[in-house]
Amino acid sequence: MDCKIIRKYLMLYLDSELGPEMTFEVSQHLDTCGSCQRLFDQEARLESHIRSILSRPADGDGILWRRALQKAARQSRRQSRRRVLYPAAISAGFALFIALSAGFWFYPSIFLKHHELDLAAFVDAEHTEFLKKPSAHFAAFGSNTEIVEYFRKHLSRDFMISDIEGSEAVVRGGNLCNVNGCGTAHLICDVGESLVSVFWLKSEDQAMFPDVQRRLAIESPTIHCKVAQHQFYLRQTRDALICGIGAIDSIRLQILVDNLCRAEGARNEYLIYPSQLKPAAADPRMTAEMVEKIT
Amino acid sequence: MIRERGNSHGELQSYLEANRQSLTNYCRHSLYEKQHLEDAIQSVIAIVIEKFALFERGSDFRTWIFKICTNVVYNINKKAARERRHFISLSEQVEDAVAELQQEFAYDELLRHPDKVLAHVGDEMQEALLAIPGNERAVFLLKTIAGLTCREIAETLEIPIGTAMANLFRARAKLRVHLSEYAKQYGFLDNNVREDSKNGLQDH
Repeated sequence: MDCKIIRKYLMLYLDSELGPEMTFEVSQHLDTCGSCQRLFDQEARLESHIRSILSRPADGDGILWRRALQKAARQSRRQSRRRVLYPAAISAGFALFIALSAGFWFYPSIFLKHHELDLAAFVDAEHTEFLKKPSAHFAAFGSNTEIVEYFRKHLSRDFMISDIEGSEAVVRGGNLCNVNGCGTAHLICDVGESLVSVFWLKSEDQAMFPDVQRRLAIESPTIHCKVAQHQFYLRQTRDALICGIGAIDSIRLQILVDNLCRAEGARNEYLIYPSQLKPAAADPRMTAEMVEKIT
Repeated sequence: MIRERGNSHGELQSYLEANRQSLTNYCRHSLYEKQHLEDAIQSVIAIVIEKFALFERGSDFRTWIFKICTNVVYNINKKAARERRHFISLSEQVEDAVAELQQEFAYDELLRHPDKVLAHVGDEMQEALLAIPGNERAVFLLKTIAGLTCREIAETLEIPIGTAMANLFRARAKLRVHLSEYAKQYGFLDNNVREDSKNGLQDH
């Protein structure tokens, strides 16, 4: 075979890429042709040199490889965790959503029970304000009759004050206040060592408090919840919403408000049972001026 | 260090260890930016760890890993907006391309004294490699460093085997020409040698 043809295939022969027949042909030619054999040797030597240069390890290759391997392993572990955790988290989230939706649908009271009511938030603010500056929240009433007359005049409602049987509550005083735009009777009672605020609102005022309205529509006419540090208890009567708020236990607060509501309905009037307006000299929160006003 | 389902991690580690140097060198000589070398190796290993469960036993690990490696290098080079990948499909027969290239390039002088030149070659080799088009360089490095056959290279790069052979020849020729020019420029070789060599070829 001609040298020119052989040289076409020389590199393929060097790479062992030729078929058996062609390999034999080139091999035979190289055995007989010194020039081609020399060229082949040169190519092989050059190729070997280049290969050795390119395959030579560089300084720090081992460290680089180990570092890359560690990073890749960490990356792989992170990805594996993500592959497991993401679907699990999505599934858990979806299951929770379904459970909450079902729970809200079938047992709405459970979810609404701890919801901070709008009315509770308002009266809590009012009560907290009172605790900060008690004098500003007290009207100068000389007797039960005065307080009844005062509320009757300003709220266009009948009030009656009588004794609460077995109640430990003592009325300290009262005043009118504005709860979210609703004229409200605010009475301060002393229950044990705590001051409790009791608020009277007209029944139709519940329109101003969507949360209360919704809960009263689906639950019993009482609502119990906690607002900040205070217990809140609300009871709906035929014409009124009576709610108490204070830092006492929920049972005592409930007894107080229930007593206040007991006779309501039949006579269509608000009943304020505690009959005595007692001075609170022992209470450090009451100022001397307030005590004087009350007495 | 490596935990993987399916195929054992010991097997994977031994595979990686066997190809460690060739993989590192392949990445090193393929990347335009040296500082991306560790990122490239890390990406390759991460992909290999992730996909190793899908690797079919009995198939060629080298072909598989260098395919991943080529894609990773290509992506990194692409990010640097330095390289475009378009494999040239040659319609002609490989022999024709080889003949054409033999006329085009002359590097006979380098053949006579490879030691003289290559003893002085340092970064010039890398420069010469980076001067070669990416598809040709990939074929050349897969052949020289990874030791793949043309069929395996064609499979790795998903190109026809004829194209792989032609690219390999082009890359070799260009590299030799580049190295010859470098040698002549720095006086490592005598220009007269080339003429002697041409005459020798014409005699046959």
